[in-house]
Amino acid sequence: MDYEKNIEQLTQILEKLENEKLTMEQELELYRQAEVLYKQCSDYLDKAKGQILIIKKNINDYKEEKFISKED
Amino acid sequence: MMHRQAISVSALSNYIKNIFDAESLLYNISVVGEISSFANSGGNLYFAIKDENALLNCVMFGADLQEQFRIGDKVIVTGTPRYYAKGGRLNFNAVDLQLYGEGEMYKRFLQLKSKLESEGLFDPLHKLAMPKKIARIGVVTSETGAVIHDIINVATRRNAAQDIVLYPIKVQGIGADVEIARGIDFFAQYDNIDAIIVGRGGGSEEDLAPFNSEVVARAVYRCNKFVVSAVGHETDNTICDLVADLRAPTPSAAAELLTKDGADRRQMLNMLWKNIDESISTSVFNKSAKLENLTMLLNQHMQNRASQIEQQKAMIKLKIDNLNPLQILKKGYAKLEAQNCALTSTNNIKAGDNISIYLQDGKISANVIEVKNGL
Repeated sequence: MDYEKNIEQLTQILEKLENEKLTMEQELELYRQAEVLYKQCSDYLDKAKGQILIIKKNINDYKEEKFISKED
Repeated sequence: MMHRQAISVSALSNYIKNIFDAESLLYNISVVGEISSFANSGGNLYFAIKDENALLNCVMFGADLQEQFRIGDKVIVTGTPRYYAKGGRLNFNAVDLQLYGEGEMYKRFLQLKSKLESEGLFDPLHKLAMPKKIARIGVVTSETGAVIHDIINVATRRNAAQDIVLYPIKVQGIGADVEIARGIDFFAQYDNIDAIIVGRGGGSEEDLAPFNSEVVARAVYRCNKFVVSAVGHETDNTICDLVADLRAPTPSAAAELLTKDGADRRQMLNMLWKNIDESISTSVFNKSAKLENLTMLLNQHMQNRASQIEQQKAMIKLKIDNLNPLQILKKGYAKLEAQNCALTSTNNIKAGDNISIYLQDGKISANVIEVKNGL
């Protein structure tokens, strides 16, 4: 799921609903689509939380590890 | 004459060495002087600094700084003096070497700035736009400095969805410039990094020097990802800031810029949904109101039509009733017939004729006695 893309689609749906002459069927279809997109975005926001990572370098490679903050 | 017992060269040399090693006041000191010689050998830098009355031999291990310094430069060297028994020589083991004095550093800064500017490194046309989608942010800074903590604080407070990936470097001192450049190059090639913050907290002009270096400027310039420079305070203006795609006044501001606020996003999403919901509701409401209106009009029309018909029927009935001869007979009039023809004039009858008289409820047969014209 691409959050930004979903938001863009939702915005387009809103624009259509507000500015275009649509039949009831078309409106309901757009509403159904919007409902799915909204749910996906909402679930995404519930789960989304970024991690703080640090690159650990070895001689020839590197890996990501959880960053544990050290004060000066 | 009394002689003390003679000792070996080694014993004396070691004795002197121990005196130096034990003297904590000599540990990690800074010395100001003018560079009088300069040589690179075996990956180490050998140089000497002097003033009017003295000279100090220095060595810096694993350093290649020839391009940054010239003979005659006034410098500040940080390190520890060591006595080398084997060579019978005192060396100052330098760990840091900086130009001394703001005038000199500023002159260098201006020279490099104008060189890079003429090469187009600050060209606005070369700058990238901030990517729309940022899932992971690379940060090139110190593991222990204020920058990474400020960025983490902002990301945590905003409940940001983005990953913060730190490439730890040292932000000042010898070799910091190369490490910073390496960090930028690393993220440029690293998958899933959409934008890079490079920076450090505030500091002296010497502290900020690596961010004014050519090697960092070129790394930022060749980086194909969006680079935000957040070096020092807002008033500091480094070459790194000038080359970067965007300059943030502080590391926190850089983080604010690149992270998305979870609460903001939630609010925006809900607003969007509310508008869609309202738009649909309004539309459905309008449509059903229209339908209701139509039904009402239709009903009204049908009612009108029906009552019109009723009225017409009543009128016709009245007319018919009025035309019914029985109604007339009921009022006391009679209908006369003579020889099966309606008798409507005295001209068609004479005395002695037989006539039929019809009343409302029966018939009378009669004989005419007299006929008189005119009423």
